[in-house]
Amino acid sequence: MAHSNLYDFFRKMDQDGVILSYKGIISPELITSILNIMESKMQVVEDNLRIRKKVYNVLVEILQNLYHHVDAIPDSFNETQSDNRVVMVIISKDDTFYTVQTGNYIDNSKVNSLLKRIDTINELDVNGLKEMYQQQLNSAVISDKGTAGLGMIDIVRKSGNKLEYLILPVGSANSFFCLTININAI
Amino acid sequence: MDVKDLKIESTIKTPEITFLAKEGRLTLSGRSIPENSIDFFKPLNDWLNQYFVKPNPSTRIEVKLEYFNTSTSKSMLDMFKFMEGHNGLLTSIEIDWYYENDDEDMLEAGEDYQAILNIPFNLVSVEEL
Repeated sequence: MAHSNLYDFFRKMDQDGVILSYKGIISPELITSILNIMESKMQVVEDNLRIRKKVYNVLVEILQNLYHHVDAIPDSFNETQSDNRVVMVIISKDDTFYTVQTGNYIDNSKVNSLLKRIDTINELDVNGLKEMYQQQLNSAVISDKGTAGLGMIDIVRKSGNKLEYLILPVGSANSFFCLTININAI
Repeated sequence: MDVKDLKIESTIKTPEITFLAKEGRLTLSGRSIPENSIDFFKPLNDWLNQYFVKPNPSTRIEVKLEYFNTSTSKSMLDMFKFMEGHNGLLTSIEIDWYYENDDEDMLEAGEDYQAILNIPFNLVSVEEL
């Protein structure tokens, strides 16, 4: 990256209130590192223990959801990474929200069901989310990966805000999935 | 043979677990956020299986978690349901769900279990865990 671009990059991140940004392979160890960094940073920037806990809680779920569900990088894009679990995570803060943004590749075959699921969850109010969570908790069978289809519901329920997303097509078989989660900072 | 005390030390992503055999009291405390909770809960479930062969007349489960993820949420429900099946046979079981009094998320999580389970499940509000 050219030095002038580096400065632009710095300025942009500064203006956007970026607390942490990461692009690379996601693993349990990486998740632990991000959580450790965020836990100590939050102790400095956030006085309210409840908000600190909420951000931490939501972040755990977002990162683990990403870890369990990220798809392979399309071959033609796989220039620098040998592993396929490459993602982007940006955590920022303004006056109103803590915001977690993630980006990852997704197979086109999975896009429709993912969007349908998000739209269904986004339509629910507080009681609807509670009901859906309890129903899923009670009826789901835990997978070998330890997942039970609860992550997205939990994220919306705890953050108190709807999921914002964008799907960017990047070829005939793949898309890039951008997800934004806001958590009230006040 | 009677079951001995159990102690599992906490890690960055898993809680501390203690069981005092004489009192029939099992306590989970700390945080439970493993990527895959099955691996963590397996030994605990195996141990409970043994315990229920010759349990204390009364069994008390204390859940004092600071955080837990949805993978844990499901594994805990499965564990509670297993307990539900043994409640009233050789032992009467009660679950105490602790939460800090201003922690709505933890209170709601307790209410979720209360709504699903058919076993004495108490929500216990405390100042600090």
